[in-house]
Order: sequence, then structure tokens, then C-alpha cells
Amino acid sequence: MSSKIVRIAGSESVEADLLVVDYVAGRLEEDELLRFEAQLRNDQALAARVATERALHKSIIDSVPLSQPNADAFARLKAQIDASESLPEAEDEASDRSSTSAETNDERAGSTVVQFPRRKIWKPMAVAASVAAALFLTTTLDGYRQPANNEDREFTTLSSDVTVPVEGSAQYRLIFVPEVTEAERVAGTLAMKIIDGPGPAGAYVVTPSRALSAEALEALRNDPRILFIEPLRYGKTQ
Amino acid sequence: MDALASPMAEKKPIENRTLPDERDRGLIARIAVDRDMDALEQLYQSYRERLGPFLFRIVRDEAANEETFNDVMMTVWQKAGQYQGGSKVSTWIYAIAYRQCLKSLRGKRHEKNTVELPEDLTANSDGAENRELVTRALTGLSEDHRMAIELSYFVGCTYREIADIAGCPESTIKTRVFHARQKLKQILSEMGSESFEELL
Repeated sequence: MSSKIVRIAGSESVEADLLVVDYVAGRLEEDELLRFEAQLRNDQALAARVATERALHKSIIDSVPLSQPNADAFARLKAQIDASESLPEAEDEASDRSSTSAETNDERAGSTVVQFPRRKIWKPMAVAASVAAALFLTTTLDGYRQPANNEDREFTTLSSDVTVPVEGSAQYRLIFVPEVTEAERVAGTLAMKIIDGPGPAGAYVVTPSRALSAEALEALRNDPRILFIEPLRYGKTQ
Repeated sequence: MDALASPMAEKKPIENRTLPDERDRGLIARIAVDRDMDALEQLYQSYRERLGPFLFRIVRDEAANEETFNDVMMTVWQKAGQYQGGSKVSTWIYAIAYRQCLKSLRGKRHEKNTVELPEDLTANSDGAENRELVTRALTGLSEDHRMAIELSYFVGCTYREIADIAGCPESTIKTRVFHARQKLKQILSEMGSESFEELL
């Protein structure tokens, strides 16, 4: 270490340069610190470098004002988590678990999730339920169809004011009108790929097969085959 | 000692900035195993104060800062089960933030090249002008060099800690900090800085 210190003044070696940095930052171990300060007392060139480093250190730290997210920003993260987990989680559990209980309290999501046991009798019931839900949505949500407004490339959901950037990795919940029977093919014509579904209510999770243009969004908003579409996540997706 | 503490606590002796890593590990375990939202909120509020200001230095925008911070904490929520305890929780979270910051900086790369330098900065005798010069000089660094400087100077990380965060050898980080400082000197020189003339 002492030889390193001897080479400091005027030296441009990595170790010597960083020794000055570490001294000013208070990161030297005690023995290093003692040796450094011993040299510092008798070395004007080293003292000048330390003074300059102090000025640079302070300028770097002060160059940007301190700022941090607001405390209430957590509520937005929580909403984002809830939105991203609630539907896929409910659908996954409905299809994957073999439990025979009709209802469990899903503490992870903080919500009650209905589970469908794997019995053949539930399959036609699920289909009937999805048709009923689709019919219900047809009659009640038609008035809330997405307005044709594509001034910017953001997609406003049907069910909330949340907007999302149109990214190829975004995921949407999509329900077709009951007349659509070939969901996968129709999704393909919409430049969408089905990655999950249909769920109990006939909802699919879809993702754009490429980043959506404003024209593609406009087409989605007005496509008569689409009953309902909204993003599963807002903001940047992971 | 853990240098990854809040820059807000800069004036405190470093010994007093020791992070409660055990508490953080407990919170991560609750998130991973129990999907405990209260644990996430505790971690969130704790890191909001120490990671938030660091992210702000990179994104330089309050809305983008919140979005980036929430992205980091979303990843923490999603990947908590993958934390294996080989490093401090703070190092793991900073590593997530590091990748987010690199993405952000690379997205802004074109903006950096459009920064117009003032024609005459020879009268930069006061601190405010020095800070302005340094701010501009920092944006002239490459992403890797910028991150190394910010983690070393602002967060106060050791080179070993930065290496763990960036996922590269300690010697690489030392070289990055060294060359970043050389570059800073060069940029400050081109800007006509007299206050840092000993560096040049």
C-alpha cells in the first residue's frame, strides 16, 4: 500500500487514482487511511488532487436535486399487481386445480376466487355461463364501446381511465361476440395471439403479435366481432 | 458496513448507515412465500427513500422516476422467489434497478447527443455553475461509465458492491470508474472548466 501511495502524485494509474477517490469518499480501511494521511501532510501535489477530488465529489452529488417517488405511489403499484394477477390467476386456478371445493379464499390476491372442480358436468355449465355472460355484456356494455379517438397511440380501456402505451408485449383481456366460433383464427386476423383462455366468462388473454399501429387500434375499437377488450396491465409491461 | 444506504443520510458516519439486511430478508421471504402485500409495502417505503433518489439522477423526471421505481418493485414482487440469499437484499434490488436504468439510459441515448454545450463557460467560479457543468459532463458519459460513477459517488458503493450489482468483475468496475473520471476531465476541459483545472 505504501508504494501505491508514493506513486500517487502525478500518477494516472488506476489504483493510485482510485485511492484518492476512496479517501475522499471515506472508504479507506484504517491502516490505509493512516498511511495516506501521513503522506498527505507532506505532499503538496497530493493535497491539491485531494482538494480537487473533494470539489468534484461534491459537485457530482449536488448536480441533481434529491427527489423520490411520493409515498402514495405504492397504491398505483398495488393496482398494477392486482390487475396483472387477478384474472390469469383466477382462470389458471379454475382450470388447473383438482380441488372439489366450490369456493376458496385466495389470500394472495386478497380476493375470493371461484374454483371449478374437474368434473365433466362443469364443462357444459361453464360454456353456458360464458354464453350467458357474453349475452349480458352484449346488451349492457355495447353503449360503452371504445370511442374512436386515436389522436395518440394510447389505448383507453373500456372499463377504466387507465391508458397504456401500445407495446407488442402488452396483454389484453378480450371477449368476442357470441357469433364468433373460431377465436384463434379471428384473433389472428386482428394481429393478436391467444395466450390463455377462454376463461369461465369466455374471456381470452391475448397479446399483439406486433406493436399496434394507430390504425390497428382503430380497427380493434370498431371491430364488430369484439365485445370487450381491455389491457391486463397498464404502464410498461415487464 | 453497507454503502447502499440513503444518500439522504450522507452526513451520518457510514457505520450508522448499516442496512437492516436481516429485516429485508424477512420481507423478501414473506413476499416470496406468502405473497404478502404488507411486506412489499414495507420494502417499498424503505427503498423509496434510498433507491428513489438514485433513480431520479438517472431518469431526471419525477413521473419517469416513479414509473421506473414501480417497475423495479414490480420485479421484486415477481422475482422474490428467485432471491437465493447469496448477496444482500439491497445488492439484489440495486441489480434490478441497474438493469432498469441501463434500459432507460439507452432509450435516451439520442437525447444525450443533442445536448448543446454553452459557448463560454470560463466564468464558472461559483458552485452552481460547477454543478451545471458536472451535470452536463455526466450525461456525456457512456451508460456503463455513468452508472459506475453514480453508484460510486452518489450511492457510495464499494467497487465490490458495484461489481455484484453490475454482474462483472471488480477490476472491470475499477477500470470503468477510472476511465469515467478521465472522460469527465476531458469533457470538463472542453467546457472550459477552470474550477477543476487541477484535474485536467
